Order: sequence, then C-alpha cells, then structure tokens
Amino acid sequence: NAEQTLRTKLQAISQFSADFSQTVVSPDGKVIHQAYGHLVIAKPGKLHWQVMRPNHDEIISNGQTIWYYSPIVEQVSIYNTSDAIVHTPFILLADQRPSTWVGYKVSATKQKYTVTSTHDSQQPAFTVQFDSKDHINEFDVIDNQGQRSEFKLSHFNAKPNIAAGEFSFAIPSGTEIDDQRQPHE
Amino acid sequence: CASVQPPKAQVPWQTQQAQLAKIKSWQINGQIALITPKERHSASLYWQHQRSSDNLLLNGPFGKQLLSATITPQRTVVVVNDKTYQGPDSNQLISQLTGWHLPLNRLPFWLVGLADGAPYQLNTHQRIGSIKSLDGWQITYKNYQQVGQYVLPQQLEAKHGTARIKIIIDQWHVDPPHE
Repeated sequence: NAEQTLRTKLQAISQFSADFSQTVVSPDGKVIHQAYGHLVIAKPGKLHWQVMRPNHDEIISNGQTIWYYSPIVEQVSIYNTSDAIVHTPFILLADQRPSTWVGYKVSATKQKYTVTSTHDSQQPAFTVQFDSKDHINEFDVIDNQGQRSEFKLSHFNAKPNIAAGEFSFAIPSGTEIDDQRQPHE
Repeated sequence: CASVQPPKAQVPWQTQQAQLAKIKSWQINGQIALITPKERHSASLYWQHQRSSDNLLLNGPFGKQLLSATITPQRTVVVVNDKTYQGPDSNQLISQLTGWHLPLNRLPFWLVGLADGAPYQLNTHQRIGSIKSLDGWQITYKNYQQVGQYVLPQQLEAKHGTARIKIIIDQWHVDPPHE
C-alpha cells in the first residue's frame, strides 16, 4: 500500500543533506514568505534545519530533544522530539519506526505521497515527492487554513559528511531558554 | 542575494512626508518579534495594507499559520488555532486572544515611516528617528532602505511599558499611487 511504499523509499535514504527554498502561499494564493537554507537529516529522528535567508532560525533534533533557536528574539525553545511531532513533518521523514508512524495515513499518486494525521486535526498534512533516483525533490506542508508551505530541495546528497555536533545545539551565551519539555512519567 | 540598498541623497522631511502620505497600498514580507519579561515570540510577518483594509499573517518556521487578521474600519476578523473571532477593535481583539499588545490601527503609519500626528524626532537623514505616542508607545527606527523612488524603514522597534516589538522588513512592495 501507499504507506508501505513511502516508508520503504524513506528507509532507503538513511541520511541526506540538501539546500531548500521555501515558498509560503496564503489560502488565497498570495506568496507571503520565502526563505532559503540548508538541512541535514539522519535516522532516527535527527535533523539540522538552518535558515540562511531572510532570517537565521535554526531547528535541531537529536532524536530525543528538539531545539528551536530564533536569533531575532535571542531565545531557544526546547521540546521533546516525541511531543514536538506536531511541529515538524520532517521527523517523519527522518524516522520510519512503526511507533512514529502510528496515527498517519498515506495516499499516493505516482511519485507524490500525501501524509495526513488520523489523530490530530490540528496537525498539517504534508506531501513528499521523489525524483527518478528516488531522492526527495519537494515536500509541501498544508495547514488547516489551506496555507501551503512548499519546500523545493536541491543539491540532494545521500552521503553527507555529518559533523560531530551536527545534531546538538550549543546554546549561545545570553540566550533565553524556553524549556517546553513536558516531563515524561 | 538582494542586499539592502543604502538610501540616496538627502531630501527635506516635508517633501518625503508628502511623498509617503500618497502611498495608498503596499505589502511587506518580514519578521516580527514580541518580547515581554515573561515570554518571547517570533514569527514571519506578511502585511498587506490597502486604503480601507489591512491583512496581516503571522507564520511559524515551517509556514504554519499562527495568526491571520483582516482589519477594516467596521470590524476585525482574527483566525488563531483554526478558530475565528470578530470584534470592532483590532487591538483589543488581538490582545484578548494572544495577550500581545499590537497597535494594529497605527502600525501601518509607523511601518511606512509616518508619525500619524504623534510627536516625533528626525534623524540626521531627514527621516523619522523616533516617535513618542501620547499613550506610551516609543518607536525607534534602526535603519531604512531604498525602495524604488521611496526610502522606507527596514528595521524598527516599538516599546510600550515592558513590552518590546521588533520588526524587520525584508521586502517592500509599494503599489504606485494613481493620481
């Protein structure tokens, strides 16, 4: 089925890096934001998302903890990766463990897969598209207001050299820490 | 990448003010930060200003809509967390829903670099350096940028009591005023 095919394709990409260009389109079709940056993904659940322009937001996950650093407010918000799954569909791209994919359904048309949450209506749906080499070339996030965020990937590298501290965040001095991690029993 | 163009020669403030006052509709893409002693929020900002309506969209890092507001003289409609609210006063509605104090009715003037009747001081380039509104808002303009024939703010800060709003405008689009 579509979910199995998608997870197999994603499973085949154990890790990758790419440049992204993001275009946000409002429900009535206006381009309301554009951003450019670089991302590195590794299994399971590891992500380094660095915006280069117009701002320098950074989102890092080591599989357990997510740091969201926003330089304009000099603050880092910290989440448990499991709680933050609402935050980023990228964790699904980076984590094919069955437990992570519980509560999602997948439909497919040719090389384009649409993933929607069955348990949380607040969570945006997202689509993943592959190129002929089964590399991800685009994914889109669509929120409940019909707002779309389209990420086009370029310079896809399935064998990135991953720096030692790639998936951990060194908090700059003077940064406000906003710890959102709910303690787990 | 499109670097920020430094403004051209100096033009007397009265001339610039008249020119800015003619602008009737514009759009900006940028970033907004809301900082209070208790909490800090950042979002990407889209603002469309027209003669009789303003449309404001705040988005999170992956483009998820955090807040949208459509403001007309008669009423304001706000969508937050997929729920829609309405009210006659945009400032009051937003602060009720989010706890943020956003002077939405005056920001369109401040964003363009006009004081809308509040006392102001010019900077060395004959443009507004700071505004002090009678109800306690203090606006400071960090820098400006050339946008076609206009010189418009690129970064400003608005303080009110212990609340601070930082706005960075990455892209301006000014619709030509039709005489």
